Amino acid sequence: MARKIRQLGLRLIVLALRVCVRAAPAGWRRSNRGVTLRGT
Amino acid sequence: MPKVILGVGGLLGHDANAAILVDGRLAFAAQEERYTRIKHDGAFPRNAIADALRASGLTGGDVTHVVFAEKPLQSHLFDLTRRPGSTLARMLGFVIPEKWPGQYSQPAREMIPTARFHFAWHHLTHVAGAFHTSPFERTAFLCIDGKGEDYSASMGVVDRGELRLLWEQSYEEGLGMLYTLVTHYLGFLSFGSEYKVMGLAPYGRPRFVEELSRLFTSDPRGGLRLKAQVQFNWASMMAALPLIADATGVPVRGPKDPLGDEHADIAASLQQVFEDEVFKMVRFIRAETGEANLVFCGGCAQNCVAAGKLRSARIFEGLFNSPVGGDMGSGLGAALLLERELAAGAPVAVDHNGFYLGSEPGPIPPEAAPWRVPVEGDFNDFVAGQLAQGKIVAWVRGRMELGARALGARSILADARQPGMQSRLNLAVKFRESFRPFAPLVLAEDCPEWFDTSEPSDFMQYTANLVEARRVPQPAHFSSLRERLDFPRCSIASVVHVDYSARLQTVARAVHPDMHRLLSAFKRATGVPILINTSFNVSGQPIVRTAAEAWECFLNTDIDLLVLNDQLFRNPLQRTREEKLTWLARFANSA
Repeated sequence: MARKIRQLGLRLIVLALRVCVRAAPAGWRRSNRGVTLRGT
Repeated sequence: MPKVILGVGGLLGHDANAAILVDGRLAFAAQEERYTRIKHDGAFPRNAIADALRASGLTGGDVTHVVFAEKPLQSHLFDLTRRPGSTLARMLGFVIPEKWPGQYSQPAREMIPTARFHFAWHHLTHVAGAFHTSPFERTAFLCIDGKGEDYSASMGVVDRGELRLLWEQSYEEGLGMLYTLVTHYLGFLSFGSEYKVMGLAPYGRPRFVEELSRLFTSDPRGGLRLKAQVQFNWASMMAALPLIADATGVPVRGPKDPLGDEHADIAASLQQVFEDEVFKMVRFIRAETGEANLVFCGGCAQNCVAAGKLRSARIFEGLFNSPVGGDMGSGLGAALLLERELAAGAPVAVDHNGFYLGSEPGPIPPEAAPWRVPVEGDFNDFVAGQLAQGKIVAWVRGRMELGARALGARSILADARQPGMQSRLNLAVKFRESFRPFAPLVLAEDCPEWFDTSEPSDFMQYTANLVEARRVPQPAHFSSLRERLDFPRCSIASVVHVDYSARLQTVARAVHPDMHRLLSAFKRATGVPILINTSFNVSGQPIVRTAAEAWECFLNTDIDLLVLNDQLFRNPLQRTREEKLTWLARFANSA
């Protein structure tokens, strides 16, 4: 049961991510990728 | 206490490698495959790191920074959501520590107990590695590979103070994916076989360009994207192969099926599409940035045919194609990226006169002693004389090269003038496909007399064409690939492809004095400043690293002579054919 709940939770997270983010268009797009390296 | 940066790269599942910078000096770089003897090994590079520390006289505790050539969390988020370049993924990257996935940071922490850990965007490591080993102070860059975290191509501008990434293609089904898919479709299934398709292309005619074009959309800026959603995993790519068969009308070729004209034609068409798209990208970045120079890097920049044509086309005044621009140099690139960030605009000085950054061959195995050949007089003159008599010589001297290509430190050498040498090397020494061409070593100062370029190709990054005066005209039609291959198209046919192109390594005294001496001796003996150079390995095996590995490979092939450090050995020829085939079978799965 716990395993099923975990799986459901994971699926919900993935679904949320898919809904929240936009698909990239074909071709070039302007980059907003940061360059700075964060040390840990 | 010195600043010691350890760069760890190739952890996307292939070509793991490590590099060490000590106070800004590039001390060591090598690939893990050379230690584990598994080609393109993607396991955590413990052996390469250990050797890098040993060769630099350091321990794990001396390392002050570790930088990884990828952001694994971003990669995982992309694989999970299939939505690249997302703001949410970037935000999560700030909340969740990048080390969280753990598959890199945990084994690294076991070896390096106290250093600070950093994670770099994958393409930026390629850019830093290429830029800081290029001759330019400021340049535009174009990086294309299979897949970074969530992007497959990027372009921008870099100088000592600034690294500006302007444009990116935020998906993995781009140009690199197309080349890999068609490589698999043509029956070359092992990882990293794209160069075989590049070598096959000149045998064909590009009559399938229109059919291949049905598989993707593109635009005038080089924005190629496959219509099918394909991922860089085995199942997804195998499922996509029938789409290519449907488009071309030619069935998927099995690895053991015979190669026909139609396969060569498809390879030629793919190479044509690739070059067209790269040229569109390069024109776009020239218009966008107005820069004078271009650095071409990433795994796709290993396509030296496209790089050679780009350089000749002069879209940019200067072009540098990085010899370690693929993943095998990403640890080096990551270390340089961090070094430039820590240096905050101060010059990052790197000696790039050669990528001979690995270990020395080490002690010669005692069992070789009875087979030592006494050399009287000049060593290079003696070896050159043997080469001129048709002997095949393995050459293992000095520090090992970084990257996929043997650059004269772990090489097999032979006389390009000898008839049938290409087939002899391919079938009896390298045990690989007979159509595969070899690359020439040519004295830099004599290059224009033989090839249509006077520019350097110190690390085999560019192709050039044989000058017209040295060509023998070919018939318009051949009945088979074999017949075309065997036609004597010039006096050095083993290193000149059927379209008269050659993948040059120009040898300048300042870059590789050791090989310059040998080539000069060969020129004195024969009048020809050119030798065949191919990597010292057999099909499916990584290039040899140590003297012991060199001796073992020597015993199992038909190479005549072996140069180990400053000594020469002849082949005992003791192994039976069955013993050789058994030894060879150990590497068959990755061939």
